[in-house]
Amino acid sequence: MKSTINRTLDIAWKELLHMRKDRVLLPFLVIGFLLELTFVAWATSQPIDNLNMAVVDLDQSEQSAALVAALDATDTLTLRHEVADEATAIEAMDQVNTVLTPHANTILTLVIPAGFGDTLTSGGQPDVRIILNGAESVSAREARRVAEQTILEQGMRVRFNMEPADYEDQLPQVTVKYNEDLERSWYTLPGEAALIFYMVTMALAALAISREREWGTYEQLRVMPFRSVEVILGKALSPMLVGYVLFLSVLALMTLVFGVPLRGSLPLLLIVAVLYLLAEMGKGVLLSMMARTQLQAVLLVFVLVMVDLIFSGYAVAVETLPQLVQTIANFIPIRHWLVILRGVMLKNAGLDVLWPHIVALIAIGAVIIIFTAWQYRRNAS
Amino acid sequence: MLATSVNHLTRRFGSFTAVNGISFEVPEGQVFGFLGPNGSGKTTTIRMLLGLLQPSDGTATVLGQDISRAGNELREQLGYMSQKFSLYRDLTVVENLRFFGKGYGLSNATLRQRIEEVIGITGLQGQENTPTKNLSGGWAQRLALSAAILHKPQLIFLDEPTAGVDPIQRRAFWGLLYDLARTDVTIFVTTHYMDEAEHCENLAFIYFGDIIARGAPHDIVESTLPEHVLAIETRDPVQTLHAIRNLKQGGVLDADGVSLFGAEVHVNIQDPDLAKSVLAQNGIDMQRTYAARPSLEDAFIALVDRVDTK
Repeated sequence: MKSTINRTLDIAWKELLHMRKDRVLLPFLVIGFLLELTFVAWATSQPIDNLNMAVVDLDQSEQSAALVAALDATDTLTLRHEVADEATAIEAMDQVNTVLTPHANTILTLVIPAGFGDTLTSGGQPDVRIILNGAESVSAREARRVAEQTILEQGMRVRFNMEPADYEDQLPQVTVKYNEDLERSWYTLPGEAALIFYMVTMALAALAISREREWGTYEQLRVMPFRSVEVILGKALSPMLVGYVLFLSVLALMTLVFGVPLRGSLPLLLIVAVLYLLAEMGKGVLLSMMARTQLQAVLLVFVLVMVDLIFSGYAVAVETLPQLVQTIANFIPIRHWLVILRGVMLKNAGLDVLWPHIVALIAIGAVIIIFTAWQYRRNAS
Repeated sequence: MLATSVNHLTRRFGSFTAVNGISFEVPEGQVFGFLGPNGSGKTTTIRMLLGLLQPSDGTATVLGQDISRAGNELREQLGYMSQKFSLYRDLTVVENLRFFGKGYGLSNATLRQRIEEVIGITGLQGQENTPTKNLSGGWAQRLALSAAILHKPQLIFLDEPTAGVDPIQRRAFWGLLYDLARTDVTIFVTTHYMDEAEHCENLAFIYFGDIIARGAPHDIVESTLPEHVLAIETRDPVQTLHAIRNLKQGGVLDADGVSLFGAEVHVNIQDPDLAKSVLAQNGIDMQRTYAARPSLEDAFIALVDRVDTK
């Protein structure tokens, strides 16, 4: 047992030496991904603001001007164009050249019909229309929400002389738990962190054996009296170490710099991170064994990342996916890891809630590592 | 005791038979040469003996252990230097040796001592911290040998260790092998250099999957080509060749073979002196003649000829 550990460490040490001598790979991966996280954090921490609005005001009344002013006053919408008719407005929406004319990409066009002011003051229902730019679905959805609310409030004010305070208590009471301000970055950043953790360690692990193949050192390694498990774990250890350090940096960056809360148990997160790493490492080394060259190994990682991301809940919650995909997702380590990471960070989830995901991670990891070791041994004959 | 005993060993890749039921024995403590042209099954055989490849048929024992059941205890007793340079090019000489030593289970103290010893044996002093990729061919081979002998294996497999190395370095490398063989290590070496093969104590010659000769170099030559070679320098070699062939066909000259060898005509014959006088009587133009024993190369070319004409 002691010698197994020693021999595993011997291989791990050699792998670290390789990593140290490669002056490009590691800095590239680490700096590249830390930059990525920073940009994603920065982009998603900004609210969706200043969306371009065009107005076709066929009424030109006091009331229509007031509505346009109310919309322009929101953070979300900014009045960019006042056009004469609907056709011109649509033409402006077709315009996608945002390099030369950055305000051309209209998200929302408001069409105020003639007689809007009269209908409104006489207590009728005017036909205000909104044309949305569905090509920008996220922005369009946000623009619609704000526009509808503003138009409704403006109607209340003009027709019934009511201020928001007069009707607010009739609306449902909303309490947001875990992410009180619905910060987008609180959702995206843990996902991004998991992805970085996953990609870097996977890429490094995938090089571990394919590199020996390419160098012609693989046969020599296989005639040495190493046990297959010693080689696999030894090969996995140094990418795990790099991955783990990166994980700690990313965690610190998220919580300390970008303000994502860490409400649950840090030790739990740190321990489960190792379990998750083991499972992903097994996969990386397995890919590495299948590949003949380092290039092949990296391309295989790309394919696997694409597939895993579908099931991971990285961008879209797994619960909204088709049933079959949800079932398959149970066998994907990163899916469990994301539930655990988000759960611990935002919801203060503990072992009592997360244990099925942790058990799943251990089971998947064990199967992958045993399969990989078996493959290594089988390769030998 | 036998270091290796191979019994009807066969390896097929699909419909291609790389090694075709070969049998041979390697006595302990010898330099054993495994010869053959490129692609004749040398490396495949070594890979089977090392347990890297499962035989399709037949058996073999290495250091008394059946290769199909051998494990790490056997591997610890073997050294291997593969055809392609197989050390880590980004690591230094000492970093490489340290990894190999630890892999073979040497303790730190033993390892330090052995590294010093093998560096002394192979003459790599002063290069300890050189990155391996900066070593020239001959030095890289010495390092590979150092790594293969670090753990004092009983049997070392060397697969074309001197391919692409200059003649002086080759000579020096073989000097190292003889020194090793004197310490009771068995050396199993493949080569296609005949001068190297002549220095082996025992040989097996493999040709497209079959062993077509084995034994000590001298015995192989003796049994393959018992005749002497009478070399004749002549003014018109082609004309002389035909003239001698006619004598042979006419029953005047009792020769086994007549062939053109550069500008000389070679006659394979039992008694060179008798032949010389017969040729002189028949008016063959002979500027200069000398009689020689055939070389190992002559023997192998003759053996290959016999197989090919079959």
